[in-house]
Amino acid sequence: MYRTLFITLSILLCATSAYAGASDKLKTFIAATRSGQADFTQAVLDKNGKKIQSASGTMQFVRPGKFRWSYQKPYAQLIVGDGEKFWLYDMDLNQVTTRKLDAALGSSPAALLSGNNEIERGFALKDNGEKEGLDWLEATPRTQDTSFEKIRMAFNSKSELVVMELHDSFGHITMLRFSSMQRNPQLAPSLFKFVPPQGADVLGE
Amino acid sequence: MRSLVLSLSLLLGACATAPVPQAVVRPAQVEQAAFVLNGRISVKYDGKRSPASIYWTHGAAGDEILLLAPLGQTVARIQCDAQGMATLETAQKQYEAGNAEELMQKALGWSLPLDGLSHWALALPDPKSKAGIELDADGHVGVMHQDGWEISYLRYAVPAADSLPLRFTLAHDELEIQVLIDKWEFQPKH
Repeated sequence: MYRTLFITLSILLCATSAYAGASDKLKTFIAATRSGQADFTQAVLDKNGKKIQSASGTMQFVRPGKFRWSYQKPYAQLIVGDGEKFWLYDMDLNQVTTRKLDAALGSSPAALLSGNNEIERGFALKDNGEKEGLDWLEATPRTQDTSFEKIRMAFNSKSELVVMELHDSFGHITMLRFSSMQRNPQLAPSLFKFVPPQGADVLGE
Repeated sequence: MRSLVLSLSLLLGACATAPVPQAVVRPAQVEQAAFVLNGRISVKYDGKRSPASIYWTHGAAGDEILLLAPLGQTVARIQCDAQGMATLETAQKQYEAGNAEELMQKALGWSLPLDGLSHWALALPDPKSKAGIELDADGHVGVMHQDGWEISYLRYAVPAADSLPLRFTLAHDELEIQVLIDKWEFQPKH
């Protein structure tokens, strides 16, 4: 009788101590996800909470530093980074703009997600409890040179990143929500090199 | 079960934020209307190009222009009141002056001709000065010359003569600015 109770109790206790907070889940996600692919929606809210931009598409990344964000709505735009430079292709304008990956872009969600441990290294992490069935954390930059005041991230029970909220110094929030996340898919290297289409106007920034 | 609740709330959320139908023609008393222009600009200057999303609120109280990077972060906020006093903020700095063009020049290296642009964006000339206008077959403005700028209209929302433009190019000396409008919204000016 006592033995059963003891076993039950120890199982319960073990289960509790195995509970992972969001910052553990972030570390697990980064350590266990060498490449990834997901659908995303992106909304930008102004300081009054008014939605000033909404977009959606798919994103892919391979660590370290390679990413491909393909926006399908409201217009077709492709952003590809190979770890050193990045290409922005706007289909309507038929323009390709290339740029070196600098500090400003280095702190973009694309670079943060495809980085090795940029979030752990550059940000102080704080668990923020559970909401809507997700575990949340808040990351505040250790230095002032990023364009964000804080980043909030939420993970599901499988330690998959579901929400990323970037709060910038203007009081605006960029909200990214990921779905159909695939971890460690085989992604062709050619996805992370951009060859401008013939006739496109190519310029540096 | 939880995922059902989640998907349901996502669906409901999506319904609640269904987009309002976008304006395609100029409102009757356009000078009395406030507008919100949501689109993209691409500024070519000195062999370089700066692409950005633009969110421009134009009303009786003045203007607010937000320039956003391709991945959503705010690059700059330009605000000017009805008297022309302007501020420009980037993530690092804040600039102030009695003139928005001067501010943009200082902070960004190029500037948008805001006074003219609030009319040109509607395919109308600025009433404050003379303009040369060439109409296309539908009665739209095809090319307009005003204040040293050449404004070429490449796409309109509908064939009607009072259609709003969706794409135009501004050229002045070495500077070329492409504007693509993804959404027009109008409200009465307060």
